[in-house]
Amino acid sequence: MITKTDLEKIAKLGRLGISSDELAEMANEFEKIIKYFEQIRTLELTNVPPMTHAVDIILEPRPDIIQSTKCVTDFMPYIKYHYFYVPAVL
Amino acid sequence: MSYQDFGSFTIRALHQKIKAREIKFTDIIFSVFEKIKKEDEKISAFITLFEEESYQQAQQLDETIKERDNLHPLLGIPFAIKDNICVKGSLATCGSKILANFISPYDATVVTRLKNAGIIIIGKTNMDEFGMGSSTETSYYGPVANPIDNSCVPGGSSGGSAAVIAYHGALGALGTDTGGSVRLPASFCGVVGLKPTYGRVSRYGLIAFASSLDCIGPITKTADDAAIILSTIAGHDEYDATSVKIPTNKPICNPNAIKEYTIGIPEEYFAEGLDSNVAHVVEKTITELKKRCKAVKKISLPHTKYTVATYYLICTAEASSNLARYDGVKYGLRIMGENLISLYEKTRQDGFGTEVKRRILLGTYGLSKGYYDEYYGTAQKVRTLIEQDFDEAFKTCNVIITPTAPTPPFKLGEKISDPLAMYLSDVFTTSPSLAGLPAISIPGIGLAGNFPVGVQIIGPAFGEEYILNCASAIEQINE
Amino acid sequence: MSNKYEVIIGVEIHVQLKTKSKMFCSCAVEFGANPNTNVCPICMGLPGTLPTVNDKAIELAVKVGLALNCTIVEHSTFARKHYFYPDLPKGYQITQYKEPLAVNGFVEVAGTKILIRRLHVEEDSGKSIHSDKESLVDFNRCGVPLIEVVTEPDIRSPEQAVQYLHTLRQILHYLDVSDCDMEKGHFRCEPNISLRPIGQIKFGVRTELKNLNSLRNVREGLEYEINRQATILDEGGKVVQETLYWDEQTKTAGTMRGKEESEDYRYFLEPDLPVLVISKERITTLFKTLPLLPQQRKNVLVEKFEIPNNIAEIIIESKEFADYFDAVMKYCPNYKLVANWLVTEVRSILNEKAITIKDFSISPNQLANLLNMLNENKITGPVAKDIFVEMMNCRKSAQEIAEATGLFLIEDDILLSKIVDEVLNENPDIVTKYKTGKTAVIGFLVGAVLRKTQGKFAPDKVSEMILKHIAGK
Repeated sequence: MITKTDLEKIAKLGRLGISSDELAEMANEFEKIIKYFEQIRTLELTNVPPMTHAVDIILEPRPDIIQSTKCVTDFMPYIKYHYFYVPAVL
Repeated sequence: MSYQDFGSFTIRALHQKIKAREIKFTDIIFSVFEKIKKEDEKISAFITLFEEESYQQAQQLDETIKERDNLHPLLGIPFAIKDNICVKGSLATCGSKILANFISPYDATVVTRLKNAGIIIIGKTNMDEFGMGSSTETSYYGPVANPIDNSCVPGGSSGGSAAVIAYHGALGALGTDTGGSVRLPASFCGVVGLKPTYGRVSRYGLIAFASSLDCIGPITKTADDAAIILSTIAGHDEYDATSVKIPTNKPICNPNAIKEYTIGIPEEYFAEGLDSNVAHVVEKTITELKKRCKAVKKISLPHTKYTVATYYLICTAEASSNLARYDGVKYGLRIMGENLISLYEKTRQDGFGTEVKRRILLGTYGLSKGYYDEYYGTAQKVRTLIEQDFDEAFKTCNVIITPTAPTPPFKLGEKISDPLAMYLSDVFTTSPSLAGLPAISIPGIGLAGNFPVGVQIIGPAFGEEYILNCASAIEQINE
Repeated sequence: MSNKYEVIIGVEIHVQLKTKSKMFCSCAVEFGANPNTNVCPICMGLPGTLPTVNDKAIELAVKVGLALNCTIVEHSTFARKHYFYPDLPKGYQITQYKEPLAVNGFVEVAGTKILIRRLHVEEDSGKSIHSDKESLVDFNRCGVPLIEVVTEPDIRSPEQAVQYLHTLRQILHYLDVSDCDMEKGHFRCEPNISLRPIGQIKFGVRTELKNLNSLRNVREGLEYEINRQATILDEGGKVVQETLYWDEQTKTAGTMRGKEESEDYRYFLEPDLPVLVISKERITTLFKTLPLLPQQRKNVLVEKFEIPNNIAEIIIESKEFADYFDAVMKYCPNYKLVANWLVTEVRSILNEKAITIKDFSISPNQLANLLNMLNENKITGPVAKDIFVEMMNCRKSAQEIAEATGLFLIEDDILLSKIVDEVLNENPDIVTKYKTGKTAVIGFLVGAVLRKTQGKFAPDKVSEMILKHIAGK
């Protein structure tokens, strides 16, 4: 049973502002969807490995060479004296 | 300017005219923009249009065409790019308010490759917000209408791209497919949509929704055109560690090759929930193919009924992670708050639509402490079982044919308030996505009411050749 | 606190690796650059970007793992660690979680083995400057490669913790994987501490300390926290599991955030990076390229060159110093002499001028020349010291200086004999005193000869000659 409080906690974890009304509405749907998802837990999965990547390759690291990029921050609005500014982090 | 509906040509056919120096590029651009002006008012397929730039590029090409030879088949072809693929210097909104002011400082790798081939990007297309939807109704910029019947949905999330091709506003389009987002709108709009094998096409510059599922794919009028585009965009990219080093496909289809093919028909896809008109078209298509291919056999993909749940558990988890970066700090929307947390919460509350918020919540829940093993962890294991189903099936057949969607296009607004019902539209397209396999949707033989019906052809990993050949065989029958 | 409680300390360190480019993109790694200049779409977390792994970072991490006696994991994986903070642009850090690059190692610290639980690679976050009204963020540091090394809770005192850190820094320095400058943030230490009553098996509740940016702060911070916890326990209270922030001004630690409201990091496997495979061949090759580590070098000095243990410890302090020693020894065979000079004369100059051996103006070759002259009795000890000082001032060789100032010792028995005679004749009463058994007076006679000859004869030769003459008289 997923309550509105549970959803509030999850929203907080995801830094997602959600109004009380929206949450109440979502809680219903949420419950229904999670219940639908539950069916996969009926499967026998003891020796089944997880499929972590959709393609069977190994990582190919890149050489340690510098490549500088210019003008990345050109279109970015929240900059002061070349720094990004945010309200005080307490 | 002389007007001809160049948008109605295939890329292949138009290229012949271009090679023969029979037409001007500016005429092509004029043609598509005329169409756009006429249709897009009611369709809303575009978020951004580049009319001036397109004319400039076309003019340049007209002036220099005499000096060129060895023309690339995509040279001067008007292209529409889904708005979650980055084009340098233009907006990449993902159909979302949170990126409504985001201008990308770089080109996606696929865009670089297409630009090198000489395409003319005429605009960025409308889409379900961040790719989350099956009907293109969740966009901040409003829904997209189906060109065949404006009261119906075009399918999603690449509804804009599919609609543009359908109403001849462009000759080639790029969409993205995570659980069916290229194939479903292709089916609903009566065009061709190809999802390549995961890893075949670079994802660098594709604004991520679900990283282990996202694919960029072409939307076109014919399988042949799709083959041309795929051969141009595919190939290993050093910027994408999940892209594979494998030879590219040939930019051409061979419909006759199917005489060696065994076609598998999974019984689980023809069960209840499948609209009878859709079933009829697909069955007719299979019957016709049977006359031309080696064999048609019944197969089983036993874990089919778990695919939607598995897909949504995985994609919401990855989405909740990929969307964490939209926090109002560096780019995009920012709603100021009294403190930092308030800035985050207000920005994300205002910037994201309901469906995106729902999926972020679902994903955060599925990954959270105490729930990981039950949900995300379990889904990853079921994903293995689904992949194994296909591995087994492809031991005895070359391609698998299914319907693309369980129903014909539904009405705008019909399913939007029932998320689970919306999720179930993906029932046929999600399993090849989970298995990382290539799949194409092509209009089948016959109609369901007014609508063409998409037939999905699934191939083994990196077997795009098989599905393109089979698709072009169906086209041949339809001619 | 006395002996009521056993102190249990585990240490987690983060080390910035000395690579040219960042961990997951090709931006430059550079300290002190103008803000937001070493950034690109990837390390800024722009939409649509993807990470690619820096091979040098992997190589350096493997080397550290091998130097710490770890098992290198052949198949390791990357994971996403989620939390929201302005200097973390993606909203998650790419790190390693379930399958780190190296496990199960150890470091010997004063005879005790401190076990290393794991070592992994990850990316650094950006930097923020805080004021009351706002915070400013610079993403230059974002994406710089880090290795994280975590010990088992094997450390039993602040001193031992500091020794561990010192040893670890020394090893990293020898490997040349990091500059390890704690003040520049290259080497960050986060210990966790708990107390348990002596004899109890179960561990107590532990706290974590952050913002310890020098070894002194580490020691003071640990001492503070041990006392704080002991006081709570003595009064019958319970220690709260939390993260504390050391304030070096007030020398206290305050709450940063409690673990009960701690972030749920929602770790999951990074889908954008396939599995990292480090082959056995590569591990073997990298193992062969490891330089001799501090303890190994010390053993060579002690066993092969018979340098006393305490002097060898000083020589191996830094790799550069040990290398300098090796270089001098190539040209001067008197190892003990070289060792002594390095740890006394050279080291005091380095301290005085506040420089390291890298900036020392006398080359190993030049020092060897000087020491050879001393070793061959061509100059006296005090003269050698004078020449040494002069060499730093005028950059001439020892040879040149000695010749110019006539400081060479003379080998001229006839002249010496003559002068000894002179001195003995001038001081008959001293000779008599010597003959009556007051042998210490020989010093006076030696001094007199040296004054007459301006120190041009080796004192022991002078002494020998004097005794010969006295015996003859």
